[in-house]
Amino acid sequence: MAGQRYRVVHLTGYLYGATMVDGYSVACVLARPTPSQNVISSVVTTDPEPDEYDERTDVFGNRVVQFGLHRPHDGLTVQAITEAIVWAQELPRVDMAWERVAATVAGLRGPMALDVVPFAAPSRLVTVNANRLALFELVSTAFWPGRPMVEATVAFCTQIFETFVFDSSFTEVSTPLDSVLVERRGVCQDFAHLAVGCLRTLGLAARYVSGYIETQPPPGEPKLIGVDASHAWCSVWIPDHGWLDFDPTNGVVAPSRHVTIGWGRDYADVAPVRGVVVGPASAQSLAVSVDVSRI
Amino acid sequence: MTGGPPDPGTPRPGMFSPGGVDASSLMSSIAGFADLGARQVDHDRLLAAEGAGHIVHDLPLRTDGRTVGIESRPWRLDPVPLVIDGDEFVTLADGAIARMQMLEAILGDVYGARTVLRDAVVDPIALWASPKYRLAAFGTRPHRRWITNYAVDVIRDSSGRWRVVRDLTDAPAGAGYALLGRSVSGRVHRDVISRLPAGRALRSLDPFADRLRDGLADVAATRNPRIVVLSGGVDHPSYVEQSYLATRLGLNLAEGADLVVRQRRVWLRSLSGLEPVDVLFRRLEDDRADPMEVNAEGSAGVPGLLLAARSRGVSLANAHGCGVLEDPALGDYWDAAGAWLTGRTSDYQGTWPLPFMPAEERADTAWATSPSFDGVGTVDRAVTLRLHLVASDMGIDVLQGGSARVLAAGDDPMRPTLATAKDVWVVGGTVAPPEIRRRDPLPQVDLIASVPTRAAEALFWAGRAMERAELIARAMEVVLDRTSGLVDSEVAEPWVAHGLDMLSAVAGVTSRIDPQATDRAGATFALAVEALARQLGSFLAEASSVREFFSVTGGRMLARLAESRAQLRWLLGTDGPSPSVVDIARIDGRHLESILVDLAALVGLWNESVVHGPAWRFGEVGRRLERAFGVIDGVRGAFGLYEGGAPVLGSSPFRAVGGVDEHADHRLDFQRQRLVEIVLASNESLVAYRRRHRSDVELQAALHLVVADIHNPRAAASAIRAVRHQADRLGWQFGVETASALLELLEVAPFDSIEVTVTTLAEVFAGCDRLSRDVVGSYLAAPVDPRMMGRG
Repeated sequence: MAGQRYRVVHLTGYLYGATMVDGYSVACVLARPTPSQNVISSVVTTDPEPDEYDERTDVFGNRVVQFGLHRPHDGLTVQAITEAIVWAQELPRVDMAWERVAATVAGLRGPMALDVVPFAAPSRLVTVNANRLALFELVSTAFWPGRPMVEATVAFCTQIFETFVFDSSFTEVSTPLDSVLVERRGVCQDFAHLAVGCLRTLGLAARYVSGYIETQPPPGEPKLIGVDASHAWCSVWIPDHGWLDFDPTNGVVAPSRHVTIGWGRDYADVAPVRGVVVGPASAQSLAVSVDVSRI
Repeated sequence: MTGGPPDPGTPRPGMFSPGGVDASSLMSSIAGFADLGARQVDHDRLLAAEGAGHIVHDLPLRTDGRTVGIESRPWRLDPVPLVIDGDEFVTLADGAIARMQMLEAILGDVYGARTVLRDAVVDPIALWASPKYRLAAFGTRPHRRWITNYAVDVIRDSSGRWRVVRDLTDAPAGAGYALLGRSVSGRVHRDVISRLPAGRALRSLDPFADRLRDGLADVAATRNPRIVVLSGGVDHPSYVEQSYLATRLGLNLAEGADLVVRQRRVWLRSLSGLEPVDVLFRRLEDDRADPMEVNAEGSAGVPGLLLAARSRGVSLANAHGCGVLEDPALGDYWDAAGAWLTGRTSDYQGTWPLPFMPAEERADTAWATSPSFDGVGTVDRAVTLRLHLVASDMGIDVLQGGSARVLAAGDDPMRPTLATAKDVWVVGGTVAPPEIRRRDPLPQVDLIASVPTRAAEALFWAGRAMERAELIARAMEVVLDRTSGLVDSEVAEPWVAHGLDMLSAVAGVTSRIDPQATDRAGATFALAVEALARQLGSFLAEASSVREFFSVTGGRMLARLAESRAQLRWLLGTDGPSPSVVDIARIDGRHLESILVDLAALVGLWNESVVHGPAWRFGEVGRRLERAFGVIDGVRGAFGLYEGGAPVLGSSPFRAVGGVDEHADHRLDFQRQRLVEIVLASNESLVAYRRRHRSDVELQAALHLVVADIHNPRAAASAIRAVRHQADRLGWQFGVETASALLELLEVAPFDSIEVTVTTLAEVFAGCDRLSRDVVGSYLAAPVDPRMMGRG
């Protein structure tokens, strides 16, 4: 199957409502290659231009840029332009019982353990231990004993898609897991946190993926849900295969219309733009736009 | 065993006889002292005097409305120290050294190759679940070492074995407290310590501070490093200790907002601009170091700090990420990981001389006990001992003593519930204590100007509050003095009311006085006491935030003033909340007097014991400006000399120059004289006046004396001259020019008519105000804490 080439323009604009004398930001907006994604180019610029710029790779292999703006400024726009070719992910050829996957994760040793096990642990925003019962109840309707891993993942992904309401007014990022569980609504970040939390409860390794989604459908294909902003979904590890992405917000497994930026334990590891400013207290505003187009 | 301290002339069997005293018999003989109660009182008093025990709540602060809440948890020192025999301590210290090396190796691995995770020696899920396992620490290879400063809590079980209950690697607290505790205990038990026989001498804690400074210098990437203590500020639970340690180390204390990252280096906002910092002695925990880091705690810390550390632009001691070793959920893994990493064995039991004790084992172990004074007698209690270690290029040094915490029955040794500490004495032993190693001294640099801007600002406001407190207290004393014992008809005389006006003007409460109040005096004094408490509070809050600038004695003065402030209600003769009106006949002048004496002593210390560097100069500018403001406030308040106001005591209180005011009647003259006396006395100028002039006090001469006379140290003009001197030394051009202009104005000011006087006072007041604004705006603009982007 041929890959699809995408061009993504991602703008994050802050208006501070006052003049700041100093600003420091960290952005995780540069795309990384994956087995199903070839990054042609990925460039970040800011307005005003930064006084200092630093780029590094974090422990998970994500590209992180950090910049400082040390002169008076009233706002900041971060623009990231990415061109990438994306292929549909393949499904594993052999589907084993999910318990065997969990047992493999628990017994992993060597370099692969370093890549996989971090995503089996609870994290700051994926509070597995505090919500273990509720998460287990939710996930066990799809992951019943002995059910094959991929089959269960598809069922689970569909279940979240069908039983949770996408509601962009409901949350901000980093809504606690328990309120998403109670209210049964949220945005893509919440569903991604929820899904990885459920899978980690079972002893599976699941990571939070940050990126973009093509919301405008090509002719004959359904419109996908997103808010013209950054998107988030999940990825689960399967032995002898690798990572399988699924998007609970859209009920899609092995997606092909998603452009990946990076992944982490949860949102905090790969937050698109964050930072601090120094200046008077004021009412700040934030505007984000993402435009994904086929080229 | 009972009795007082031993008399060397009549040694009792087993006590203090050379070579024959073991640790436990020394401990039990101290526990048997008949005067233990008195020694407890001495410990309490000295500890409070060090400012370690004092609690100051919600102090009001500054005109910008900032407040600072200082809440230091009061703790006590047990008068019975924990005494450890030198030989046993050597074994213990060696165990702790081995443990520190082990932990160093573990940090290098969990943030580097992660072999302990690869092979699941440490449960990777448990490690990754720890919020103390920091993403930003990966791939950073700290210069020299991860851990410079390590502390470990150990406890002895009933069979005599020492076990570890807690490793402290993030920003280990307690070394400062240990030094503080020794300075107290050493003074109280001087008689005991000085009589310890040769060979059984008490080991000194003093070398540790030097070793710590060496260790901090060694982690720097440069040869001549500038080291700063990164503090959590006055709101941090161990702030008192942080400032004490900074003083002992001779290092500046900086808070997050005092530091800035540029070009991957850390700079201190100092009075002479941005100065590079090479090493941060980090007293701020990992999650508060840098708001840019994943899972940082709000906007605390220095933005970009970890980028600078990664780029080796600054060294952190301890390095970022060390706190992971403190996570209680992970404590059980480290001994195994350490043994595995050193290739000793995968069966690590028995590998470490000082092993960790798992939580479940702690619950049902019997501990060794030692005597502890409970206020009545001694009881046997278990104690945990905190050892402090410092790593430098010369090796690892252990503080030869430390502090111990007394456990209540049933306490988990990791979490003592009693706030009782013990000084730890290491005595004697056949193994010689480690010798003091000499090393090449660091090149000398003059750091007098490297004062954090915030410190100068705090001293400026401290100076202002200190002076205003004195002005208020003095005015209260004078008014009280001159109005007590008056009969009712006298109280109704105008000069009494105008004296009260002066007091309310100096206290800054004029607008809150009801002119129709039936008891003006009572209402004014109630408000004045409140104002005095507020000024003392401001002073204490500011001074406490720069405690390292005050000498040890200065620190004790702060504790005394905190006490006085807490007791100000006594002045009003009430135990309850401050009343809105007070019966001034019940005001006890002795309390006022004691506050005035304390303030005078403080000014003495301020001048004699604080280094006269730039920070002190800003404090002086604040203090002198406040004096000028206060003099003018008092004069204006007493005589109503405001622009557009109505001067008091007749249409013309001024005698015509060279003649007799024809309107002045005898009665009015008397009123005026009493009031002028009050103003002179409030400015401590009455004696000076009488020495210079005839006995009759005249308004014109009096005004000249308190406002314009450069030879009167209490005059506004003298204060302005002092400001000019400091401005000159600071290179503050605006200050020199403005102060000079004011002095010229005062030199020729005639004070011979209401109009001229009102104008002169207004001009001088406005000039001082310009000086104050300029010094704050040009030098002391407080660094602002960063806030999160995108949060309103």
